[in-house]
Amino acid sequence: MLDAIYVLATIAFFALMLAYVGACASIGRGAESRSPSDHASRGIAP
Amino acid sequence: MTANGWLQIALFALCALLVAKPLGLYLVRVYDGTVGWLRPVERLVYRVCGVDPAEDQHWTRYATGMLLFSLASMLLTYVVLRLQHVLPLNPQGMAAVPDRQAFETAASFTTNTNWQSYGGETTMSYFSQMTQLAFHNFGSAAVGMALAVALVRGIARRGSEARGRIGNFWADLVRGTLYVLLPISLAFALLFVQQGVIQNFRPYLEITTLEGATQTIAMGPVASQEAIKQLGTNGGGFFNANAAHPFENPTPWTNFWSMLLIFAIPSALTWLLGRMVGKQRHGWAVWAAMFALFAAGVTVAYWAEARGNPIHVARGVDAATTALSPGGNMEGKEVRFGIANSALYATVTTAASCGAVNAMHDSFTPLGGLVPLLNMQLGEVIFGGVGAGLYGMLIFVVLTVFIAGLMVGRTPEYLGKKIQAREVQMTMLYVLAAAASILVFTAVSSVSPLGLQGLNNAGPHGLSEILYAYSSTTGNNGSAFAGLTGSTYWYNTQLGVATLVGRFALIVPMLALAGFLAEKEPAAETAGTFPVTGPLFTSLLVGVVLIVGALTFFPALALGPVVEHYLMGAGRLF
Repeated sequence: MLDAIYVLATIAFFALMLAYVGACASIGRGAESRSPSDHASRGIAP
Repeated sequence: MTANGWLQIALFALCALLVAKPLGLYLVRVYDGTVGWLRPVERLVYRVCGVDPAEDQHWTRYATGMLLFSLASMLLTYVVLRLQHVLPLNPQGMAAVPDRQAFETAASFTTNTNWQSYGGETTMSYFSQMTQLAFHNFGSAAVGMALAVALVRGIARRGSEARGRIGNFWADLVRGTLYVLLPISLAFALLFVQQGVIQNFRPYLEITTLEGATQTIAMGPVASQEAIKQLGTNGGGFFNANAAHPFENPTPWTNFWSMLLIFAIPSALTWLLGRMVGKQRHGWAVWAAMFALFAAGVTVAYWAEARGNPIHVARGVDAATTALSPGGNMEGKEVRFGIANSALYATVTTAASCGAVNAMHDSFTPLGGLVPLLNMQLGEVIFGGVGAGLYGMLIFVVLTVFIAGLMVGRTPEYLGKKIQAREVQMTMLYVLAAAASILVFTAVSSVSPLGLQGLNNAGPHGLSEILYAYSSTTGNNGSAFAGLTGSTYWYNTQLGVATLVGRFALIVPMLALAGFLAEKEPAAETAGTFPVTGPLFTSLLVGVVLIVGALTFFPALALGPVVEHYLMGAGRLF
């Protein structure tokens, strides 16, 4: 029983890390889609 | 402290410096594919595994490959440990490793931590040691090196060509293992055997001592594991006593080579950094920052241990250094290594994420024990683990140029690449994940009855033991302060999770940072560019590492080793 829990928890952890990869990638894409002119229009240094 | 002790420390530092360029140059050639003396084997591995080594992977694909490799190898280790009693090469008839311990051990070795809540000679079969633990010693180290090289590629490449691509994980993994780890480990395993480290498959020996008692002498294939244990900054001992055991570390030469193996690749990787980014002085500046932090640590540890424990002195223990006595605090230290080599080893093994020990860190004086603890909490960036040390330090480099940019009111740049919001976000995710894992787990265990059940010491020393355990596992170090009964469901499970968080929750944003930098086009340096070479940059980098570490961990350290130091002065021990 505990074997199954440890194995499933391990798989769940790595699945979470794969989701983390996706989340970081979307942060990167989001920042990329904001062009320097977007920043400038909001008073942020490009 | 003695001149002899300082001479040995200086000789070690010199060797760590001298190895940087030749090994660094070799590493550059390995990872750019120039080195090919094992090409037929390399090609065979690719063909069997269905890998196209020429594929240049986007960072998300690189990260996915790394995660899947780690998951598969961790699950395999869990299964083998649970079934070792029915598997071959088990002359002592070792039982299956308990579920909680199998989980922790599998997580620990997969993450290059090698935290051991078991005695190797009383728990693991030769099959488990050789096919799983030794395999991870190679695999986790090769993964660390690959990741560091991937980050350096991200920094070095032009965005228009790379477009977020940072190399091929499988090719990096195979090349690091075949051309670096295996040959160097083989050479040093033979040297270790020559010095008296054992290598056999015999059942344990039953001998009768001079007093007439029966003693069991553990045997096994130790030398082959010892070399990669140090070179790969893994640290997991074949025996429970680790490198304090005479079959693992019998002579001053094996002790010296062990320490040098720990620092060799991390030192060389700084040279690789300089070469790959086309600015060798930057690599040396990073090396200098690492060395400054290392020198400060070993000085404090050596001074504290050589000074000894005033309570021992008050009770008549002779702490003076003479021709026949090392003086100072010899509690928990091997006589054949003495104080200088114990303090140096403790600093080296925790500056790097090795975790092998040749002395009991629990028996160090409070300030002597604070050094290994702080080394791990700073992120093990002082040369650090193979690969992990460099990419950890490069996170601090990004933070440093960001802070420097803020101070002068310019958009921060690192080697011509602008450091913008998403790069700083990834950097902060890296820094915060490590700190949160150490402090939250420590806090929970410090107030939970299940956590406190494992403590063998009260007061500030008890807190230091818990803090050390989570600093060591999150930092993927693996050394233990001891004094903490880690073989419980509470600690096995939590420490196992801490090793996973400390490895993968940091690697993902680091690889994202590599990918983001690989999308950027470097701008030409101008008079206003913050230089990442020279003493100013090195000083600022050291300052940022210390300030981040101090701000994060000083309150916990103040309640542990710092208050224990003052109470020791007042005559109280814990």
